[in-house]
Amino acid sequence: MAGVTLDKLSKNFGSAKNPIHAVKNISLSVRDREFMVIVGPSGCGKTTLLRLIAGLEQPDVGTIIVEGHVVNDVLPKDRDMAMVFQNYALYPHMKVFENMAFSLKMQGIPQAEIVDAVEIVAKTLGISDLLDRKPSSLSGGEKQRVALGRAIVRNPKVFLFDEPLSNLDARLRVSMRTEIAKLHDRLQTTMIYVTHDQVEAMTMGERICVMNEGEIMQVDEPLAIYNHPVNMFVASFIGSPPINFITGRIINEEGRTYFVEKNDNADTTLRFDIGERLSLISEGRRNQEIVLGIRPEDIYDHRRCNAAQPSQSLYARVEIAEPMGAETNVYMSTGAHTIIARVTGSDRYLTNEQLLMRLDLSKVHLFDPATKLAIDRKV
Amino acid sequence: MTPFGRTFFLNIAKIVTYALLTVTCLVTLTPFFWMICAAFKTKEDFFACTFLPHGDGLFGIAWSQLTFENFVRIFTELDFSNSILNSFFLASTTAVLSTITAAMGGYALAKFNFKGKDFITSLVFAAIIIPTPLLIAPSYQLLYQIDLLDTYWGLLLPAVAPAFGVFLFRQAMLNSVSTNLLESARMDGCGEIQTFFTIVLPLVRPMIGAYLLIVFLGTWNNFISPQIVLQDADKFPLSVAMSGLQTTYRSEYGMISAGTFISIAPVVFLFMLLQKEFITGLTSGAVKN
Repeated sequence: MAGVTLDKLSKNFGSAKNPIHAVKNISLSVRDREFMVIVGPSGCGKTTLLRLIAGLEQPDVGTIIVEGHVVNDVLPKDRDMAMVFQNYALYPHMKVFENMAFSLKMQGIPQAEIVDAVEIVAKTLGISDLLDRKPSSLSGGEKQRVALGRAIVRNPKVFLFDEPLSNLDARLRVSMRTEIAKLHDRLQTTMIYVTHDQVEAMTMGERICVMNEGEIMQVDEPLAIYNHPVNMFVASFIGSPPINFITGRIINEEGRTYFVEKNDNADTTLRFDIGERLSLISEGRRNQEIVLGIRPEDIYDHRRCNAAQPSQSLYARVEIAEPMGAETNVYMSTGAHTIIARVTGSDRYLTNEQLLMRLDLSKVHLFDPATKLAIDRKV
Repeated sequence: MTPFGRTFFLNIAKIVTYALLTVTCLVTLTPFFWMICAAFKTKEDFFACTFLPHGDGLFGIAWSQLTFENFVRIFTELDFSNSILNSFFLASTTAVLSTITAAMGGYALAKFNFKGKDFITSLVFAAIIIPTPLLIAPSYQLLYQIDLLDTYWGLLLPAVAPAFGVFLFRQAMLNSVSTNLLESARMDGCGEIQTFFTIVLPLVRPMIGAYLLIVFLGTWNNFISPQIVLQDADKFPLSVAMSGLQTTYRSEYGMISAGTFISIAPVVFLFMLLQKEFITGLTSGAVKN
């Protein structure tokens, strides 16, 4: 079992004149036996990072350390890592048994031991009856299990997953997520999992590394990232529906501190008292442009609140409502912004209906519009 | 139009189509049938009748006048068996070597990134459009200079790694060999040569079958290159040996027909064996997986 450390890793593609910076000076430490999820939008460099760890790409700058040894010059086959690919990468001309046994055969392990190892893993994953079949006759879920089995049978120090569930339907994705999580509990092996799905990231990772444009935005536990995002990108990427951003200014008036929505129209529709906590956070930024972030589940329908404090409420006009069953996503217009509220229950919301909503100020984030950074996450 | 009317016209169209195809088939096969008949006719009957000699036998054919004499003379007067062996050797060796080298070249151009790759790929494409007859004189000169005239190497070396083969395999590898598979093999402990033979070649089996057939047929039927390069009659393949039957003053048409009949038998057999791979290999790029 092994920890993986990346030290100032960079990788460029393209020509020297017009390089594409896929990975920019990344330093990351994955602890021994940890389940680390690397998440980010398409093209952010997460797959390139995984391929650098696997040895399928060579870094331009930086070192990769596994179990205390620098492995930059070590071939992929000698890094004692197993990779599960997005499209499974099963050898189509070999049966399932041969696919799973292939790496052991390459290592020169005796046939009897190979048979035992493959049968044990196949039984664990419930694919014993598939061993004589070829990949073309398997379903997506079965192929994924075989790909997992092929990785497990190697008993590697590190498992690498490159978006393994993205080709599966929604229901299968949910069940396979659980299986992989259970696998980690059972094997207690370091796992590095790449995905663009923030739900997978939140539910599977012990820690999440959020990437964007080749750089690491934030590394932390899932709830810490969710509740204390370091910048606007992290705040918007993690969470569904995404966080609401409202641009405005913070002003002092009659001894109180208000957030005033930026609205080019003559009528300003959003204005409310931000309370002591946010007032302290935003000290020194009076009358400067600021971005207020609030998650949909922290905006309540006042009819479902015990007491509405007018200074922490807002009026908004319903644009559209999406009933999900146990909750409803309500898209509302404040005049200058469209915000989303996730309200519990299945109340009906009519288009153009005027609603009084309440904001939970303890969950509000403030961001600098120029740097996009959260102003202060610790207050 | 009523459904009955539509069905009637469809049936008529089918009948006409099949009739046309049958006629075309018969027209195509007629020369072959003529050749087979000529192989079993005597010299006297050769020009006396178009196909089989007329007589009082079954179907009005004089079966007793048919003979194996042409076949016997082919093997006794012409050392035909030696020519067959020469043809087999040249065709099979060329096919195998050419397939391996073309597959390797196509694999490198399809799946590896290296300096000069685009330039080499352009060279391959450019080489394909050069007409073969233009290369005969410079090839002869080159073979003369490196002392390979009148040797089998003089025929084998120029035929190994032809540009068209590299191109075909490049296309097949691009369509049929996923890069993830290669990376998976590398992570599983496969070296590059092992990956090529264990993972890559099985995936392009249809193209291998098709290309083997194309090269075998081409070499088996090739007349110009052996005619120019070889001088020793013991080394002549079938195509050159049989041309000796047609001289300025006489032509042994019966023996030519018998020789041709024997020479096409192996290629027909090979085609029957590999026809599935041949069709699949040539159409494998037509539909995305």
